[in-house]
Amino acid sequence: MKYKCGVCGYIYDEEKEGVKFTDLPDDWICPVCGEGKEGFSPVDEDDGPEPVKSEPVKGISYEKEELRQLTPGQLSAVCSNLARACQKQQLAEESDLFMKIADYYESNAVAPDNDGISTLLKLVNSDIDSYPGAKKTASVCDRGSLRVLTWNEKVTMILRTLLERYEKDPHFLDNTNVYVCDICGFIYIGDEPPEICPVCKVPGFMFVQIKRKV
Amino acid sequence: MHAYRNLRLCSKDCMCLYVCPTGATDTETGQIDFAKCVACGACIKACPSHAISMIPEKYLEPKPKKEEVLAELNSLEYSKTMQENIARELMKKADDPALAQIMEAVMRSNRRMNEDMQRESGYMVPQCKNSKQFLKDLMKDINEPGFPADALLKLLEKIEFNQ
Repeated sequence: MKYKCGVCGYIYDEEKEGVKFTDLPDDWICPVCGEGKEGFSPVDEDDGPEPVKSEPVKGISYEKEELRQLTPGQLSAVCSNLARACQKQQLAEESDLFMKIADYYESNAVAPDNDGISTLLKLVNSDIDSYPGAKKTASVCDRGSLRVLTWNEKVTMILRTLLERYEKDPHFLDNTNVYVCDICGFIYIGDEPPEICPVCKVPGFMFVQIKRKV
Repeated sequence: MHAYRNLRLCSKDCMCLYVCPTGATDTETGQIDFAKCVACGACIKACPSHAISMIPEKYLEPKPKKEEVLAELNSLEYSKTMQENIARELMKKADDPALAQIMEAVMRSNRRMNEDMQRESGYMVPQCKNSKQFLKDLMKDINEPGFPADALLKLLEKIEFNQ
């Protein structure tokens, strides 16, 4: 049997490894991206059923005229995203101006009542449950949204793995480094950033190291 | 339109200097002199490192999105925002530096995911109609204490919005 990592696509081949996937210890992680065992699924050896091709549906084209009701945190993310768009166009001053507004809304964002990491895990798990439906909706007519949902789903799976690992062993980051992909948000644990991002495939220099403050 | 050099890729082959008709590539900063550039594209074709590209003057409007896709994205954006806010709070009040470190990573990761979804929700390009409407709608907060009113007014004035 072969098992495939749902985050980076790494294949665990039982025949080559000589150890059954189910016999691997519970804290075994993907050697490429760090995803846990629960993110792996068996690979169907005989091609399996063809993926269902959805009929192209003519989208009702829809112009957004009204601003959605956005929370301060969302407003901040729209602004920091537009700041990054300005950077790509070499509009440094405009980028700084967008960041000023992003910072204002960020400072107004309030965390909901929460029980710390267990609340985070609850939200992460609920997101993971909603990706398949969201991807199906987007797959009909929206390649861009399907792309972002696919990356997001993988990054969210890694978040789940990391939060669970931290809950089990708060020292698991003690002798290594933490990096975040500045493009898709993938979190990588290791001494050096990966050569390319396992999720969005940008080069390693696009990773930002999160240092521990003493 | 004008040419732009990616300094991370430029290996100083200097073919651009040789082919540029206006001398726009000959600068001390390493960047192209945008005022001198006539957007002929000769440097792009000549560069063996593929370090030069053209920055367009006009950006196309993003394709209109379907309402049900926007609704899916919006509810995930909302969730990522909550997670970012919780992670920020946990980071700030953490006694354990390891917890602060992982929460900073979680916060940043959620922001990147959120931004990426906003990009697909119609805010890809600052010049597009959606972005203009977005900025105009922010005017409602202009008198809030601490709101960077100058920044908003300057953006509305400086960005060359699509007509």
